[in-house]
Amino acid sequence: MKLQPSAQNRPATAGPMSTTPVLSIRGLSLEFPVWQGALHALEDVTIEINAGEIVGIVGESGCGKSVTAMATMRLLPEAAYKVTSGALSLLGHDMLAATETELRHIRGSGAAMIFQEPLTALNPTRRIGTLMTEVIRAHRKIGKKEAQAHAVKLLKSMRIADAEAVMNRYSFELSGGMRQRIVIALAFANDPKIVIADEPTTALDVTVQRQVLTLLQNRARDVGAAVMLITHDLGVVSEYTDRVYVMYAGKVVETGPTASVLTKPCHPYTHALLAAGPDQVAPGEALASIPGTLPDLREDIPGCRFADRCAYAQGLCRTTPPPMRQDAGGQSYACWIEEEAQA
Amino acid sequence: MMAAMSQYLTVFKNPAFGRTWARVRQSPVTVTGLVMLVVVVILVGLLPFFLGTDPNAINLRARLSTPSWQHPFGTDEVGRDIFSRVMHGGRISIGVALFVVAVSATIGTLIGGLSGIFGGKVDTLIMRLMDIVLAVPSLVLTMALAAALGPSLWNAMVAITLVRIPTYVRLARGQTLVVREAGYIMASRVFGARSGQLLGLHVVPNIMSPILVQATLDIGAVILMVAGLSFIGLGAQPPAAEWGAMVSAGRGYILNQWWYSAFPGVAILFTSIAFNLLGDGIRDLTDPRQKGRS
Amino acid sequence: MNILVVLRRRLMFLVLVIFGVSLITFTISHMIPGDPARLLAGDRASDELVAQMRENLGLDQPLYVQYGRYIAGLVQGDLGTSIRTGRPVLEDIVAYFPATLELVIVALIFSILVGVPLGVASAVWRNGIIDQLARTFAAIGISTPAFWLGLLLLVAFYGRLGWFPGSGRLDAGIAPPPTITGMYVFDSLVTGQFKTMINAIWHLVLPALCLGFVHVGVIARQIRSAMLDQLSEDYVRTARASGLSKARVILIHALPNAAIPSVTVLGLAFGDLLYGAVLTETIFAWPGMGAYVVNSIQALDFPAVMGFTVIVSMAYVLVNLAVDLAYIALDPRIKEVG
Repeated sequence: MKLQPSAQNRPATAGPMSTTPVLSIRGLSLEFPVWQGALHALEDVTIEINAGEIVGIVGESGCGKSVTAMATMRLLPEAAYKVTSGALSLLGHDMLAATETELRHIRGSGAAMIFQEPLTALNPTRRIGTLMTEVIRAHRKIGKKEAQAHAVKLLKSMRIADAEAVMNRYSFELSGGMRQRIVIALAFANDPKIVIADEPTTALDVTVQRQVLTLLQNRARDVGAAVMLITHDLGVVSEYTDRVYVMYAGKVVETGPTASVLTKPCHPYTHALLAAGPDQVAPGEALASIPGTLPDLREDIPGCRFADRCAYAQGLCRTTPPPMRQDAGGQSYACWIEEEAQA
Repeated sequence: MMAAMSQYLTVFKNPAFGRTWARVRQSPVTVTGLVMLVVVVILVGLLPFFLGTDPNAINLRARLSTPSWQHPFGTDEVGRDIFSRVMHGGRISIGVALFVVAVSATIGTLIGGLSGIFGGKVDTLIMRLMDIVLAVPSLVLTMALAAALGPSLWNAMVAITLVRIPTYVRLARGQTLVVREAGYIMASRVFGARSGQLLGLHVVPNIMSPILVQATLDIGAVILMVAGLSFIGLGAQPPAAEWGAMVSAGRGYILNQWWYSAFPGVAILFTSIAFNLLGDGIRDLTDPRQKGRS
Repeated sequence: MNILVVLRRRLMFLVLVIFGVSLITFTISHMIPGDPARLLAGDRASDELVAQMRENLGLDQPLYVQYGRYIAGLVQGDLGTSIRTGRPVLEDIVAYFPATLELVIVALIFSILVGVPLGVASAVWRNGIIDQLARTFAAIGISTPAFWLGLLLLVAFYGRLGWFPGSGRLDAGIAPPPTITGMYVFDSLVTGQFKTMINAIWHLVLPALCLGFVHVGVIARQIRSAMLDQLSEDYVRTARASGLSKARVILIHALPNAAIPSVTVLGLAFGDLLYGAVLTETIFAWPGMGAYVVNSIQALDFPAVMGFTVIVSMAYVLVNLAVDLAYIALDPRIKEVG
């Protein structure tokens, strides 16, 4: 897959369309209490997604991208984590304070989610039709017949040929690509304003990946939904996203328009990611081409979290966390490299 | 040759053993079970020696008296002290259970281990046989065997032992096959070890932990089984102070002298819980995958 | 897995089981010292009479001939004659079976009604107070001697409080309903004798409570474990992310999937329930197979005990076969092939 952003995939209407973001994460820090301490999974994460935008979140596994997605939908097990600071607003709802009823109305309706494993994402003992009408009727006051018709329409919009027949199938009877299309259809069931897709195609083979991602992209453009596309694959980022956030060890290290971040990366980590190439980053593995390992998130890291693996790391990098700074092209990055150069 | 042998002997060195006690202390279930067991051992194993009372001493003037300081659990229809009978009876109930479990686990492990080592037709035949026995409701089969053998504590023990064996055969065989896959056996065969040696040297130490877990859980079940058989007249015969027989003897007095049946039953319940908790705890410790699952 | 293949294999196994059970019990009962002929004839009978008796019963024949005869009878539905009642064993068992079945079914329903919610709550609030209580309860349940619990229930609810009757299936003044299944609650419901039905239910409460208690824990444990497996599945997360309510996800999605593997446990529990019925029926003077077999044991009536064992084993294997078939029917993932 090529790294250059391909313009033909992007309609002219792309980019920020309104000033109020559909998702706004501001300075979110989140930790998982563990034995005698805490695992600092997210540290001062700020992510903003505007209506209709497709935004990539990229990083190695363990960088906090999935935690961010789960936290956005408040799907992390309540007892298992603690938000230490920051705010999270999804479609204008304060997700950190939302009640169970409120959450129920947001999830699957205004905000939908697509998970990594299409093989296990659907209840194996219920028919596809049952699963779909259930979600539709959870958010709309319509009859069974009507819901079924809507479900068939949704399946057809995902280019599923004999949608009526698929309605009567069980998920285990279908192929991986088919299942993921159904999962996407399910996500778009109630006209979401934002779809959070957590590694939606990692489990699929490469040819199917492209089909499914293109379907997702087209569908989102058609209905004007924003997409938060979580991936470890820079090829996917370059091909399908408008903007990108690069995360490392629970922090956003660089962000900006996809084209400029991927062609003119500022942060050494983004550099390293690009140098490694898209095929080098397997899910569940750290980048082999960057020496060193991910820092232990249970420890307090005084300086930059990437310092141990960074070829440019200097004194300041190990003592003070670098602030986010913006360049003229709308690209932001958290790195001391310029100060170090001046010093 | 010697070097090769010593290499195979490392099987015995269980690296997890040193940490076991530390983990035991962190498991409330295991600790509760252990504490309850210590209480049982003190009451049943030691107390009768200090009390020096005769559990069969008849005192007709004090018959069927309510629990008091003198008779904490009351007395029965001929004035025997139920407290000391329960303490003495524990030695029968627990002793029988330990004996039954030890014998059936040993025999079952030997059969299962050998069956696994030999494989082939003998193995198939043995396992088919065990399948048949296991397909029958075990408690009913035990009762039928005990009835066939005739009412006595010894016969009840034989019946329970026989019915318990297949569980261990199956367990031991499964584990043996795993060990066999590991290659120790193959290697030893090359060195000319005989089957008996194989079983003793390699298989037994490796299959001990699941067998021990099963055995611990079984002790509780066997205590209940013995008591149940005694209750319907198939186990211990009067005047033996066996718990189940005592509950049975108190049946006729239950509406007015509840303590007669109640306290021996409490003893059964308490001891059985102790062994079940301990077994659960040990299983959690030896099989982390199952932790908190049961 | 083709249902017919499963069925055929299991029915052949059933034949093996019955053969095996009868062989084991037969052999042992004839190996031990003691003379059924003398027992039957009585202590005072003359030696000639005993010899005559022995010949009549075929006890003078070699053991294998006797066993052959027993099996031949078994195939024709003849389980021999009870020494105690003098009637064919099968006839006796058929007469006593419905009462036991009724008790076992009600006990099973009770333990499911309590055990399943307990197991679900335990899994949902894992390691919480309900979970701790439920697990403690389960541990106590499997450690409780049923006969002792029965006596305590009898003292409390019959003796002291007088809320429930302590023995029998109906009050003395009430006539049993016409026999359809032999299960009083069902028969009286069908024939519209509601007063009889209420009375029959009233009599069932304590024995069923006693018999079901142990299994509440067994079922709660199983459901808890299966629910924990299901709740960690991805589809649960998908359902939550789709805005389905927590209750819906737990009860409509996870619970049915957890119940499927749990039906096997119910099948296995059936065997324990039958043995439990033996003890429970003794205590509550419940005129079922259990009470029958205990009386037979005490009278050294071995044909009756053996007949009971064979029938119960058969019922147990059949119930487990039914459970396996239900499993195939319930889980769409297991498909018929060929």
